[in-house]
Formats: sequence, C-alpha cells, structure tokens
Amino acid sequence: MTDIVALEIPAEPSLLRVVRMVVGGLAAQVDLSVDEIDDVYMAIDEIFYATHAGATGERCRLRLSAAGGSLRLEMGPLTCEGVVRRLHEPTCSLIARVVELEIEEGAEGVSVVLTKRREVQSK
Amino acid sequence: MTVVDPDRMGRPLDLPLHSSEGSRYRDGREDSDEGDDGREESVARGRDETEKLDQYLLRRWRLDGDRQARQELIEMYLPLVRSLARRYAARGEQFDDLVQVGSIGLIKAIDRFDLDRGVELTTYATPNIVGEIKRYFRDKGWSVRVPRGLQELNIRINRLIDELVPKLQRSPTINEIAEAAGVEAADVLEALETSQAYNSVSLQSALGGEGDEDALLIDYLGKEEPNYDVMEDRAVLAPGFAKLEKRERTILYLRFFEGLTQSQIAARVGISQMHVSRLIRRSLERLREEIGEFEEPIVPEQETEAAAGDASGASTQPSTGHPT
Repeated sequence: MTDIVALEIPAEPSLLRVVRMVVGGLAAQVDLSVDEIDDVYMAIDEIFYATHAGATGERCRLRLSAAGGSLRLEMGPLTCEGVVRRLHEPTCSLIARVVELEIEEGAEGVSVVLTKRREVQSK
Repeated sequence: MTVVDPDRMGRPLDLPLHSSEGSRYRDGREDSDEGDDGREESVARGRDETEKLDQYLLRRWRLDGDRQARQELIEMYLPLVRSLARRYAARGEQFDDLVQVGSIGLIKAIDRFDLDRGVELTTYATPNIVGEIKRYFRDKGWSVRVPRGLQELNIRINRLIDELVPKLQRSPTINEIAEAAGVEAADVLEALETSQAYNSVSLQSALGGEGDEDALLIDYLGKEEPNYDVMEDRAVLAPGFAKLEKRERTILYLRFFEGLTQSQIAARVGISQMHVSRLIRRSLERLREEIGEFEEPIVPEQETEAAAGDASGASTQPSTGHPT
C-alpha cells in the first residue's frame, strides 16, 4: 500500500522540522536506514534553501509517498524567480549524488521531485 | 609505611600515603614481580587496600576537616573521571572540559559521601561524575531547549547506532533502533531530530576512542586525497570546494565522491554517525555560503534557466558529474 501525505507549510526554515518528522515517519515505514533518512533530511534542507531562500509570505507545498522501499517527495509548484538556476547550484548537485533529484517544469511552475530508494542489503 | 589512625580507625593500616600510589591501582599499571597465578590475588589485595585508604582519607576529611586528605582523594580518583569523560568525548565537547566538569562531580561526591553508608566511594562517585557531565551537555551542548528525556534518548540512540552498525554491517533502520532501545519508532525519530538542535562539533575536539584520547579529528581528515585534482576539475564545484578547508573537503569527498555512507565514514574516522552527519551539514552550509557569494554575478539567471530548459514539461537533473 502506498502512503501519501500532502503537506502545506509557510516557507519558514523553522518549520522544516515538521517536514523532517513526516519524512522520517514515512521513511521508517519503508525501512530506510538512518543514513538514508539523513540523506533525505539534508536534501530537503538544500532544496528548501534553493527554492525559498529569502522568500517571505510564501507557502511550501509538499506531497510525500512511500512504497516499495522508496520514499518520494515532491515540492511545488514553485513560482519564485530564479528557482531553476538555484536548483542547479553546486550544493544541490552534491545532494543529487546521494538522492535522486528531478526538476520538472510545468504550466503552473517548477516542481522538484526527490526520491530515495532503500539499498538492497547484501548478506 | 604504617599509618595509624588511633582515634577513628582503631587499628593500624599498611597504606601508601601518596596519591600517586593510589592511582596505580586504578590504572592497573602497578609493577609487580608476581606471575599470572598471583595477579588475581594481587589485584584483590590492591583493591582491598585502596578501599581502606579511601576510608582512611575520607574520615580524615569528613571528620577532621583535613584538606590534604581531600586533595589526595581527588587526585586518586582523577583516572576514574578521565575514564568516564572519555565515553562522552566524541559528542562535540572538549575532552579536557569534560574532565573538568567530571571533577566537579567527583568533588561533590567526596564532600557528600556518607561514611556510614557502607558503599565504596567509586560506587557513589560514578553517578555523580556522570551526572555532572550530562548536566554540562544539557546546559552547554544544546543550542535550543530540548527536553531532558529526549536528549538522553538521543545520546542512548547515538550509542545504539554505533553498536548496531558493526553488528548488522550496515546502517540500522528506525525500527531496528526502536527495537534495540525498547521504544517506539516515533520516539526514535523525535530523538534523532533533537540532534539538529545540538551544537556544531569542533574539529579540534578529541575523538575520545579507546587509547586515542590525544588524537584530533583533524589528524584523520588532513590527509591529501589523490583524486582531489579530478574533483576540483569539475567546474561547477571547484570554486566552492577551493574555499573550503582541506578537512572539510575531505569529509565531503568521502561522502559525495567516494560514496561512503555516514556510518562508514564514522567507522573510518572513529566518531559517531550523528557526529559525521553534523560535520557534513556544517560543511554544506559553508559551501553554500561560499558559493552563494561566488555564483550570483557569474551565472545570469535567464541564460541558466534557458539552458535548463524553458519548455513546459521539461525535466532536468542537477549536474552531478556522474549518475546517482
């Protein structure tokens, strides 16, 4: 069964804790390891910074799902100026080495899709 | 030398008067001509004599107000303080600071020890010393107020992760930690979240591993990596990395280019997984700050967005230099 959670919070860094708690709960359901969950936490911080840095009064919309050993987080649509450029900055590129990161542009704005898959453990 | 305390003890004792001799028992480094067979007996005898010495000095201090006896007790038990402080040294605080704090706990224990209680000073002092160190972490180590229970669970989970990684040969899941800790998965998540509120770790801090108390993290991270040139050639990352200190580059390099997990880095460096997590976060923050200054004037917004694809429905991935 796929768990889907929709979340909308004011774009305030202090509220990222709420996102992390929800992400952690879903990640635990698909048995991501502590290391893997921490990768997701760092990715959320970086993406949030890239997409909402300096933004005031904006809302951050997220859709999260967990199934089949992977966690998927979609943030957006984002309409703030320069968001695509900031998502290609080096810290996001680093993060993209440890999580799957996709930037989708649609009519309503830009969406960022983050996916973290559980590593298959070799015995 | 025979010490007689006729008023209080009522019998002669064969006791060493100097604190350094007392310390030898605790360090287990006392020279001995005895072989293996006699060692156990020797240790037992040493322990017994130490206990008598404790009692003797405690009586001198508590009943006679002899400050020299108090000082000798403090010095005798400093190895115990160091041993307990070492357990907490990998958590972002200076080892010497923890010894200082632990010493306060020891002094309190010596000053409050009840002679009629019938317990050894070690038994009474240990929780006092640990309590003082924990209080220090609570007061100084946490940048925002985190409930005491959560802080302690965080510390316990930190320790459990370190135990589970070698046992499982991988990073544990939340459920595995919860089972090992005997708590709910939600409690584990909440406790892990509290580590976000914990102060950044000083790279000058002692690692605190067994027999490694003088080794500094910087010694482990300061080695040149042969692939730095390759890494620095990557145009997009080079400017930011060049601004980082070598030790920061190393830890980011191990995580993002060598592909080591946080647990693997922790095992290699000899620190906890949470410690590695905090170091990576701090390095990323610094990198972001450095690159932020560099990037703004160089990459025109419109050009970059055009390069990334302006058409509706376009999908791109940040450049990584290699597949995820």
